[in-house]
Amino acid sequence: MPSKGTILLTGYEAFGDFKVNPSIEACMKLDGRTYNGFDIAVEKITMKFDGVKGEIEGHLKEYRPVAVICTGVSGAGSAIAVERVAINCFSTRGAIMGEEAQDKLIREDGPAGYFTSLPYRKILEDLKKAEIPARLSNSAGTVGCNLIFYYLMDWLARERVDIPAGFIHVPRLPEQALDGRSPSMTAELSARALEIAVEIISKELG
Amino acid sequence: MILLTGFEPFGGSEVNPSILACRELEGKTYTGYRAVVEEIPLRYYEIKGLIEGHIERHKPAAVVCTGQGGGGGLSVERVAINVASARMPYNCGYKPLDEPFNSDGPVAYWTKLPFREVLEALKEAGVPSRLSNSAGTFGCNQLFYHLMDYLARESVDVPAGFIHVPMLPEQVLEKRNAASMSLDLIARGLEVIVESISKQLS
Repeated sequence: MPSKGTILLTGYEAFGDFKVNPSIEACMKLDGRTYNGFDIAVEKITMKFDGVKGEIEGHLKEYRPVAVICTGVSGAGSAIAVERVAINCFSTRGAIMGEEAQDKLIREDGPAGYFTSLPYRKILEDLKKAEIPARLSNSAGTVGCNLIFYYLMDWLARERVDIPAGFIHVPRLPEQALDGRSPSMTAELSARALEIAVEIISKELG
Repeated sequence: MILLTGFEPFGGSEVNPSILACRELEGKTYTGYRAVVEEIPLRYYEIKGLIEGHIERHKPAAVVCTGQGGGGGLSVERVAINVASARMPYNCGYKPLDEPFNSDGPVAYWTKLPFREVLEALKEAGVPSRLSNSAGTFGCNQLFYHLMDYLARESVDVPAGFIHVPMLPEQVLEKRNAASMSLDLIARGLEVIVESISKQLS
């Protein structure tokens, strides 16, 4: 069967305390698979402030995907978090991704925010049916995850590409929560959540 | 004058710390600016008209809207978003789902409060506080969005924004390990915020 198109998934590389990053680990489990005729492509994004824009835009131009889900880890998150909105702000406490900034605009003349274009209600509903803890989140923060989310939505808006696209946070891995205080989720369960999101999108795209 | 607003009680509570704290400042003057207080009902279809009416009537030099949040300190909100989505009904019974306030409006508005100065002043005064990146999608974000949207549409350039305040100790007695703050400290926090704004204005 010829491919109906590519669904692009991105995860971040390891950084800081995260010797492995659960976001790319979860994405990789879907790499090369096909859902309802749509091929999955997975790309790892470098945790470098200056590099993210070029990397995500490069992948968008290369694949011309029919849908995009960017992912990242939330160190404090207990559940899969489907993000509602990206904001035009990069603000750190200390240096992150090689950049220390306070209240910096991601794009000087960009809009304050972009809403996700993922079918988030349907995704949340199916995640619940699959008994995977998940929630809708109203803030993707102001560092790496919000950064790629904003660049993604900003590029699509500027290029007038109307496709399902957005960002999903996954929790840390059990091996990263051995202190027993932090919430965690296995890479398998996070991957299953991404699979459910991809299944919904691929069905809606037909 | 500086306009302060707080919400009426909701969610089965008999009090709302936001309006109670605002009332503590009512009529007082800070660096030459008098604090005027208005209570906002948690009624979906009334909020827009009320906040716009208060601004038209008072022509304030600054606006600080407040509401009850679940945090441990005062949360200075960075951004209002163009969506209402409630897990519990408003006091009027309405329960919106993913509903934009203004279908032609921008996705988001930044606060126009000098939030870094405000946070610094709160820290110096010993009032627990933080910058928040989400005011939620209920009444507080609604009021915040209508406020910023009105100011933008009318080209009114004044410091304006939204502050979430914690619940009162008496509100969390039945809630296991929920954060609270005494009314005096919340009111002191709002005073610090108003002082910080009024000094910048004068």
